[in-house]
Formats: sequence, C-alpha cells, structure tokens
Amino acid sequence: MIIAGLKLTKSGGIAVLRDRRVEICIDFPAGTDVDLDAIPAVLAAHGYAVDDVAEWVIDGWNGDKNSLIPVRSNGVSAELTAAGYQDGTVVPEPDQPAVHGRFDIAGQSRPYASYVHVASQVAAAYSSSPFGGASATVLVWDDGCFPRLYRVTEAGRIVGDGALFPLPGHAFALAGQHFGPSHGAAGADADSDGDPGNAGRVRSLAAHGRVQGGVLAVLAELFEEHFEADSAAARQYRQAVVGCGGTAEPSHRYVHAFLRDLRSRTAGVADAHVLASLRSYLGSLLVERLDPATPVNLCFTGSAALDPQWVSALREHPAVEALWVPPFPDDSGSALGAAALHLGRDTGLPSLDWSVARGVAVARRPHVPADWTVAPMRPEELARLLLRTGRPALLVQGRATVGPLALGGRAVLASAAVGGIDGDVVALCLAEYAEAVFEPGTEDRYGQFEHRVRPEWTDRIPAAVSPDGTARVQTVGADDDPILRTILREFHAWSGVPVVLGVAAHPYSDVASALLAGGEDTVWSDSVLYRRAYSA
Amino acid sequence: MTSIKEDNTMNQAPRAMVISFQKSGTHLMQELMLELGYRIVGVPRPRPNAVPEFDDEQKAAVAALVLDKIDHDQLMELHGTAAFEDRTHEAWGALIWHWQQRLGQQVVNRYGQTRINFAESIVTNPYLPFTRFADTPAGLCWIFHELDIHRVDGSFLSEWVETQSPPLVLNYRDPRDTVISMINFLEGRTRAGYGNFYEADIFSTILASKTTWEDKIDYALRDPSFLARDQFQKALWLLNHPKVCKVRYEDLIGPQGGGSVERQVDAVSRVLHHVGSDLDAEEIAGKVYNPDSWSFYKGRSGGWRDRFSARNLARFNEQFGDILEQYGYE
Repeated sequence: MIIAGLKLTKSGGIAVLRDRRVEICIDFPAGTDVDLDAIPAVLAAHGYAVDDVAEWVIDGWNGDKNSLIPVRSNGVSAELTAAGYQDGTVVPEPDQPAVHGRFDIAGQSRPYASYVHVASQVAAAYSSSPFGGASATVLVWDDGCFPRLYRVTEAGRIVGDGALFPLPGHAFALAGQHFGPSHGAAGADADSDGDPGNAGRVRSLAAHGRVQGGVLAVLAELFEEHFEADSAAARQYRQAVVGCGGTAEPSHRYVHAFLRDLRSRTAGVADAHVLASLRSYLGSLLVERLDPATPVNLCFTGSAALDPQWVSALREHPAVEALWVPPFPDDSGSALGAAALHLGRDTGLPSLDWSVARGVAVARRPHVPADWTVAPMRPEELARLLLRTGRPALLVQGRATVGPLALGGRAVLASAAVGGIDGDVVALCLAEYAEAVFEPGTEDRYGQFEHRVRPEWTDRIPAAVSPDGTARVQTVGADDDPILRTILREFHAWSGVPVVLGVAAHPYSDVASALLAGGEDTVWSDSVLYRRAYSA
Repeated sequence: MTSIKEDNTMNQAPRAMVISFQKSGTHLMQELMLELGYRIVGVPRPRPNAVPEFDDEQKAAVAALVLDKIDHDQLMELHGTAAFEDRTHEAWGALIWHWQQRLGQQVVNRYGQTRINFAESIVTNPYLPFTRFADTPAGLCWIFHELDIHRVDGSFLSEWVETQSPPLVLNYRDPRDTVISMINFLEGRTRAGYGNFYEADIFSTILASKTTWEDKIDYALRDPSFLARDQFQKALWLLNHPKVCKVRYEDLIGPQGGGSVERQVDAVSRVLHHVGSDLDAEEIAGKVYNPDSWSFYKGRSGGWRDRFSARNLARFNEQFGDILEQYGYE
C-alpha cells in the first residue's frame, strides 16, 4: 500500500511510503502557501501517479484543537482543517488521527487523515531508529512546544509522559533578536508572533562566546521567575502557553519578556557570552530534567535536536543506554512521520526501511545553458580539482538528502584548508580517520554531535573550525554516500587530509537549474564537470 | 616538472613506454620507472609524486601543441592567472587523450566517449595529428596494457622504427596467474577496489554471480570478451621483436614476492640498459616492490595452482597451451 504524507505548512513537503519503505521524502520549493495542484508533478518526477496513492495523511499544525492551513487548490486560495500541534485532552491518543477531511488533488476529491504535529515527529524519530520492536523514550522539543516526553511501547503505541519544563523550543532562536547583530530588529521589543529567527545563526554567535557562571546564575533566577514559579505571573504564563504552536498562543510575548530581563541583568557582558551561557543553561536543563527511573533508549527530535551541543550532552546522560537522533528532526521529517503514523495506526509504529538519500531526484535535461562548458570527470578527478584549484564545486548527484543535517547529493565542497564557502559548514571526514582529527571523532553519519578539532589539525583544516574550537563533523564510512567517500579518499591520498569542507546546497532537481542559479562557477554531476566558460 | 635525475640524464631516454599486461605487476614497472626519474602517464591510477608536474614554460609548450596560434597567444596573455592554470591543465588532458587514441588504446569502453569528445573540443591546432611522439613532454614514461599493432597510428610505428624512441618495454606474467589475479581484482580484493575502467563493473558483477572458483575461472576462460583475455596473443609481435625489452613479473617481484634477488636485479638491469640509464640496478631493484600499490593483492606468483581445478587446467591448456609455450611458461 502506498501512503503519502503531506506537510502543508512553511514550504511544505511530501513523503511517500510503499509499505514500510520510504520512497520519497522531499520539501517543496520555498514559497508562500503550498499549492496542492503542484503535487501530481512532484509525484510524477519520482515515478508515481496521484492514483497510485491509497491513503493521504496531513501533518497537524499550530492550534490546541485543530489547525487551519492555508493552501492553493484548483488555482485559488483555500483552507484545510488539519490536526493541532500536540496531544492533550482534545486528542488523548497521539497515534490516532485527530481530523478526517477531504481535499482536491488532480481535480478529484480525496479523503485524508490528519495527526497532531508532535506525534508526526515522534513517529519519524522512532520509526527511523534502530529501536524498532523495543520500547523507547522520545524527547520532542520543537519550536512551538515544550520539551515533551513520550514512551513508545514494544507494541509501537505512543504514550504521552508530560513536559520537562515549560519553555517552547523557539526561545533560543528568539534570543537572536535580543543579542548579537539583530538586536533591536523588528520583533525584539514588539511581542511579535512572527518568525522567531534562525537558531543555527544564534548557535554560530554563541560559538564566539564563553559560558559565564554569573550569567548562568541570572538565567536560573529568571527562568524560575518567568516560567516555573508559583507566582501569579508565572501561573498566568502556564495557563496562556501550553506549547501548541507559536502562532496559536502568545508564547513569543512571554519569551521576549524573559529575554529583555536577561539583557537588562547581563548589561556589560558580551552578547556572545550571554548566548553561549543560555545555550549551555538550556542544554543542562534538558539533561537534568530527563530523569527516567530506568535506563532508556532515547530518541531526541524536534528543531532543538539540531543543536550538536545538546545532542552530545544527552548522549552522555547516564540513564541513556542508546541515543537516536533522526537526520530530519525538524519539520523536514514531519510528512514522513505523518505517513508512518498512518501506516501504524492499527498495528503500532512501523520500523521503516529508509535512507537519508530519499530527497529530490536529478532530472536529466537535453541542453546545457549557454556559457557553460562540459568535461568528463570522475569523482576522483573532482577531488584533485578541489585540491589543485582551491576553488569550491557544487555537487548535484543522485537523490538529495532528507533533512538539514546530512550532506550528500546536493552540497558545495571545498578544501578545508582554503574554505571559500558560506553557511553552516560541515567537515566531511573519512570515518576511519575521524578520531585522529576530532575529539571524540566517533561515528557521526549525519553531522549531529559536537566534536572538537584536535590541536594538531586546526591549522590544516582552518575553514572547518568554529571560533570555540568545535566543528560540525559528518563521518563518511564504507556504507555511506559512495561518491562522497570516493572524493574524500582521493583528496586524502593527494593531500594527507581526510577532510573536505561541505555545506548544504539547494535541493536542485536538475543540473541546469543549479547552473542558472549562479552560485558556483563549477558544478559536478554524474561524472560531468560543468564550468562557467573561462571562469577564473 | 621533476626531471629525470640530473646525474642520469646524459644517456637516459627522455621518454619511455612500457606495455604491461593487466594483472602482471604494472605497479612494479611503475615503481621502477619512477626510480629512474620518470613521471607516469597512461593507465596507472594517478597518485601524488607519480603524475607530471610542469612549470609554466612546459605548460605553455604543451598548450602550443594543442592550441592554434591565436588561441595560444590569447592563453599566454592569461599567464599568472587561474584561467591559465585551468586551460593549460585542459590542454595537457587533451594531449593525453589524443595520444591514447593514436596509440590505439581502449578509451571509449574504459573511460567513455566523452573523453575523446572533450579532447577534440579543446584541440584547435590542426597540426597536432602530425606531431611526433618526440614532441610530447620529456621526462615521462607512458604505461599501457596493450599496443595493438592493428590499432596503433602507423606514424608512431614509423617514428619508432626510425628512431627507436621511445624505448619499449614489455612486462608479462604467467597467463594462469593473470586469470586468478584478474578475478581477485574484479572481485575487489585489491587495496582500492577494481579501478576506474567502466567495463570492470560488468565483469565484477558477473563474477560475483558465480559461486565457486572453478566456475569463475571457467567463465574467464570461455568468454572471449573477458578482460585481458587476448592480451598475450596481441602482444606476440612485442614478445618477438628484438628491439623490445622483455621482463617478467616473476623476475621483477624479487625475494619479497617469492622470486630471487639475482633474477630481479637482472631484469632491472636490462630495463636500465634499454632506456640508457646508468643507475645502480641492485639499488633500484630493492625499491620496486610496493605492497602499498592500490592494485596490490598478494604479490605472489604461482597462485593459480591453488585455484585451478583439473577441468580449468584442461580447458586452459586446450585454449592457451601455445601461448603458454611461446611466453616460456611450459
């Protein structure tokens, strides 16, 4: 049976399950409201017709009971009713559909089921984990909810276990409006419910700072005062904000108040130090409050699971026997999770047959844009080109990766000695050399944990090193992306450096669009090098 | 470019060519020629300190072979820029593929038609096909697995007959061991897999589908298109030509591979003499055995005895008994 999971908020995305096998898991191109009329073409590009889909499932969104999601359908704007953000009194069973409805796809009305958003994330984490068939604890801390615990039973049923503390995950991103270069931008003082900002950018700022004991003490006081105290103000907060989505409740207003007080109480302390301290404080809270009675298999998911420092801290928790963080802990896994929930609605969450390379496929086009030259080039030759020229190259190969973490078929690569690429850079490292270059350097196939660059390597891969001496590392072993591994092996053979720098690229669906986007002068795809004519 | 060792350049040929059968210890020949100061072009997988490194003057000279006068003049105006580096690198690539074609190499099936097309798109000098092998950069040893006299450009043969340059060396091995080595290679038992020839993917899959060594060997002997199956027949002209230096894997491998010092030094000495080197053969011989080579597996000879069944041996003798005799293995 083929199930299509849909995420219709933000840019949206679709996942297709053929029984337990993940066939597709892609985000739609960024835009405004999701256009349902575009779904047939997306399916067709990956070999599916709309009528192949037996069941349609929609991920829930902001709302305590249900959500209203704006979409484009039949060429006009419309609203779909979907499930809300999380389970609770209205939806006591997170693994059962909360809403049923109908929508038009390809000119035909079709039924859909919708599950609460947080349950989609629980399902995406558990069903992709190595814990299938065993019980596990799932910790979800997404932008719009508190850090919530769920227990997945051996039978694959999801049971809610409450929240660790009453703070939505977007709080750290919002801190970027109070500290750092964005301080004073719209929203910081306006109780905005708008986009909280980019947590990754705040982490980058925090990497320039050091944790300060005085700031930690202030944070503990303010956190208690604003969110957990038995005071009228804190009680009012907990009544008004339950973690059902950033736009469904006034959570931003309260978090902004907390952050304003933090800024006031830390005047004179460098912003980077405050952010580093805040990051450390929240990570410590996660670890302290996670206090299971017995050792557990833990899945950590939600946008907070993109923070390698927090992920690493949880891995060290004495009660965590094994930790699994899906490479798609944020909304990129929500469509997949919704489909998995539906597959397991009667039989329990399935263990999925999946790969990180289930994103957009590369379509072949008969023409190359003008002003681009083509040349045959094996991956080994590409590695030598990176080394010889010191210039970056964009890789457009096979299926794009799912989620924001793992690099694979859509990445800009460069020598880590030279750099020259912007963004959240990743040190791609041959797995067998990772422990020699990084501490701890243990297997990290999706770039999820915190690693420090060993001192003897900092001068050899300077572009991979963050100001705090850490690096995002993705180990590439024999079972991982064969093209990346070939490039790394050849680069190592010629330079003695088992690391190549990478950054995620747009999930291009064909080479021509990558060339026309104009980001890089050198693009490699399927053993062909595309180079802007006479580019220097 | 790192040139042929200074103390050895008076008599040593500026260019050399080695025809080394597949799975016959090409890496040994590569190590030997590197010791003589040559850089390597051809079928060996490129690696640091083995590929040519040209200075700007040499890059310009290579580009002059490949580009017409106008293009070359324009290129020279780019001197000192990244574009100069890119375009001279492309010119060198085009020159390599041009000569691979003229020497009758199996480019299309091994590397793809696009290599030829790309080279042709770079070449603007109409005189390039008329240039001689002696016009290629000095200090290089070109290593190939075959030199098929029915495919090679006659102008190269004419130049070779006339000048005996480049000196030709033929390296071979017991054909029964090459069959076993090829199967090991295609099944990925060598250090770095089975290399870059596209055709290898095909035979690797076929061999993996055969469950016993007997079946694998039987297939290798019976499929006329199996890799390197006809290399011994096609090189009989090289084996019999008095101006070609012949060496055997079993001799080059030396004591570390189960051979003897005497035979190894003798083989190296003959190669040195053939290319005009006055380096010390004994010293060089001690450096040619390199288990770090990417295509290295066991580096032993006579392994076929452990793998050939009586049925395999009977078929081999029936099909290749004469070859075995001509190459001196019976």
